[in-house]
Amino acid sequence: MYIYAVFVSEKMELEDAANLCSEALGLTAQGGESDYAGVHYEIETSLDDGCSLSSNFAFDYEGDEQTWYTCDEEFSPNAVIVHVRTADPASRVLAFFLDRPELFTLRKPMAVYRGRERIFEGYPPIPEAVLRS
Amino acid sequence: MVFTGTPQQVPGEIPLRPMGFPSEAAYARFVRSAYDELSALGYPNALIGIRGSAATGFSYRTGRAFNDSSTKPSDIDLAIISRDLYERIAVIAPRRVNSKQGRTDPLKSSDELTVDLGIADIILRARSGTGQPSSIVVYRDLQTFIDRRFFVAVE
Repeated sequence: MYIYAVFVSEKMELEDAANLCSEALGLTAQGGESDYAGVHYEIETSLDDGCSLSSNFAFDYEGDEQTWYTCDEEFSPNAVIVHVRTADPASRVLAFFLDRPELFTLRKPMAVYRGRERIFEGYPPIPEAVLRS
Repeated sequence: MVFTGTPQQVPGEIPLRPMGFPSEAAYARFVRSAYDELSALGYPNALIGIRGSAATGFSYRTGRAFNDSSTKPSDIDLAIISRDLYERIAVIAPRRVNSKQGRTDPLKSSDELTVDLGIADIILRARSGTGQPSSIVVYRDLQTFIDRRFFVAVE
């Protein structure tokens, strides 16, 4: 079973958000650089519990010209987009973002999957029956 | 079939190895498992590609070499070229496609859309096989992919 959540912040820069999360959780923010979307960060306790933080823009090309576009047009290109994926209902990573609604807001309902089957979609708390199923 | 910036056919083998994969065998395993998975998902005509510095050895955007030690680790920028998969995304997650450009946003394994689509494991295998971060963009068709340049596509 995995829990998925997407958060958005328009209050912080990407690097500041990664540093805040990293320092609060005592975990390394592993940076990466994609030709698709530039710098991003991964913060994980394990392969089954972590998040990725990226900016709300990606790069493209028209011929040799580099261009860029806003991924989620409801937010500014500099908004921070956080994808959380965890197998742990008590995940510290997930709790970090849920506990800071003044900085990070859920972009949409959270989802719980068993394999590829979505068994729950909604806002927290996730019902105990779903977590025990 | 292998395409580089100038499409070139090399039937029967996979002669080009993108950066990050530790051996030809590891790369071939990744490619074959990805194609097997896409076929099982109902996309037997899909094409896998790799773009950016993993394909060319340097970032066209920054000019830096792949995994330049003074920078953050470089991603394996995967591509799937499939009209059927692209159109499925357009139906279930229309915000994630740019119909004018004919491609999706970059998708990560932590993105639930990749679970809905069944392609999260392809991203995770690229990551576990290379130790590099990875994401996927789905392209509507081969010409759209080729027009973005700086890629390797294999079949």
